Amino acid sequence: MEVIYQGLKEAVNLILSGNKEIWQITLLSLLVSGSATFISMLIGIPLGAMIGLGRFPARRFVISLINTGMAFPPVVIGLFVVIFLWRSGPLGFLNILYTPLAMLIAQVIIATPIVMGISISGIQSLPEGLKLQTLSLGASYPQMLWILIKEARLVLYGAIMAGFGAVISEVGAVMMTGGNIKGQTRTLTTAIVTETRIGHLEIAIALAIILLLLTFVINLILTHLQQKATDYTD
Amino acid sequence: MNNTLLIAKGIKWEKERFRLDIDSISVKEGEVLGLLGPNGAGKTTLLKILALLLKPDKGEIFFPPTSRLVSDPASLSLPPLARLALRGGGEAGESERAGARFPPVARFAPKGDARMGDRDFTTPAPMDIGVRKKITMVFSDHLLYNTTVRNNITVGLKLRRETRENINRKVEEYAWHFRIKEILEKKAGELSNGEKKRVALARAFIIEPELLLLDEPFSALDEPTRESLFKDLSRMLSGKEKRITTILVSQQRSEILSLCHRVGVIIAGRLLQMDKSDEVFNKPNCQEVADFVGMQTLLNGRVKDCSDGVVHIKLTGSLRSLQDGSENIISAQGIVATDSEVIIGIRPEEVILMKPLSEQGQFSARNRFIGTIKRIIPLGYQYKIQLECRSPNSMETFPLSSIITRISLEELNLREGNNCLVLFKANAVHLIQK
Repeated sequence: MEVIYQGLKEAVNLILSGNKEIWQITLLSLLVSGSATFISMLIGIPLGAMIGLGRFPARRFVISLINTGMAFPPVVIGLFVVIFLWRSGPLGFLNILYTPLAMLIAQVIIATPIVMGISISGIQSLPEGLKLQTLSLGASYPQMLWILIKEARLVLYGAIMAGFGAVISEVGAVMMTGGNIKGQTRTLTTAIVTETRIGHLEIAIALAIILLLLTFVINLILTHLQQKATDYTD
Repeated sequence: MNNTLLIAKGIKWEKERFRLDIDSISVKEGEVLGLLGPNGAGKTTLLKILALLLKPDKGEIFFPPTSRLVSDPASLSLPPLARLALRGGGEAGESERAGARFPPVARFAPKGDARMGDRDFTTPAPMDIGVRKKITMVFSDHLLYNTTVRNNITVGLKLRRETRENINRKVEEYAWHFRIKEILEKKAGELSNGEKKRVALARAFIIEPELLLLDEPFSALDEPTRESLFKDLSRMLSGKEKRITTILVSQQRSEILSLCHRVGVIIAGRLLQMDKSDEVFNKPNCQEVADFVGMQTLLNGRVKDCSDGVVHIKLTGSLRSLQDGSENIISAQGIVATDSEVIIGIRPEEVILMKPLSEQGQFSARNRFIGTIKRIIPLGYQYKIQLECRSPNSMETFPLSSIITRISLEELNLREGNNCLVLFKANAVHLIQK
């Protein structure tokens, strides 16, 4: 109990004192995971909508692949990204391993199938015929896609929250691709691991509280947008 | 109402066990064309094909150069396959992206190939958005968006980038036509079934398309709601305000009869008859159509003789023989070769019932039979009477239906099992040659 109490005290101190390192770590976590979620949204929602509405061979197989991707262990994704970005790897010439960009790439790969998989279900849960009705009102294919995405917005906000939740909380992929370099690629999750390992439990708890608060605030904003979106005007 | 808007030819579409096979169907500018048929006959599928939302496996859709659906006649001179070959397979949206992977379906015909009258129908059906924007379909499910009524009915206008003033003016106008002014700010989910239908129709009418396709606009509505919507829709379709070429699909004969100029009957994927409404209802060309347009009595017969425009037909088949006896002969009007096989159709409304042994002097009906009442089925104010009939000197009976009012039923004191006199005129008998 004492440890937890100390941790809470330390957390409040760290947050209030404006510790530069803590803020840097928090900002990097937010930046990498936020961008990864944003990119996965740009890829996952339209693609998910197209797959959900489309009729093409092997559609079911593709959907089951995406659903499998939703449950992919981040460490495995981290491993593959490292192999590709390794100096002798296929993309080694880019020289981006152990940079925030490498972490971003790994997180996009983690979040995209999640956003896409949920988007597919969301679009498929719309009434059958809505697609043809929309086309029949004079929409082009992209316009129809946009109208149906707006129609499925409740579920799609859920998809974004799930995607963000997955990347902000994962540790394996960022650890492997970023290398947990102090001041450069250290994120909240990797910092918690490091501080715990060296016995700084108070700092670890403080970081954990910041992580929880951050996740909570982001989800609060997204939930607010989601609930507000029960009516859209354009 | 002279210009042809669209012609579809040789439309074939197959899925699982269902097959749609339409030789030819055309729509003229300003007309209301009805498509009648039982559930699962392929009416909705045909509508989707005509709306360019669904690609047929085979077939051609032509637009005459004068068709309002084609905005740019210059584009008609494009080389064949240049545009259409690029589309195909599946639904319009996918086909737009599918590129040239699929074979062309809505083929170009060589110039002068598909002539109809003095018009040159060399124009193919481009599945492009330009034509699609001029055709609007209303599905039988209302399919509203999860937003306000106002947002719902303006979707089409916004897609066409109409100005805000135009949109507001049209919303006023069409909300008045469809009596939805009071519910404009309500959400779609809060509406009754009837209101949803009105909104769905307003959403299509407000676009003022060149061709409007209505799929079962009155389905799943209670009677008073249906009637009030029917009134409004018939006012809109009769063109006193704005006349829009319309194809209306329904299972209800009465709707089609009163709203449509021409009617096509589709049964099991085939267009069996296409004619003026009166013709289809009074002169069906085959047993299936006769059955569907309400000729409840259909009997097989062979022409015994024909003179002075009166045909005598001996009933054959599906007779319930009590005992070998003399024959049942039905008189009809027309000229048919002796010994030819015919189907006899008699509408129940044309069959008059009288008390047995009553004075028949006032009736000129050529056909007189003795009927035994098998069943009395109430239909609201009217009653359907199912009878077994025979000539006075015949021992064979044939089935016949009659529809009478409640007052007649009481006056004649009809009961199941009783006998009565059955009369119908020769010109009430419709002959279908086999």
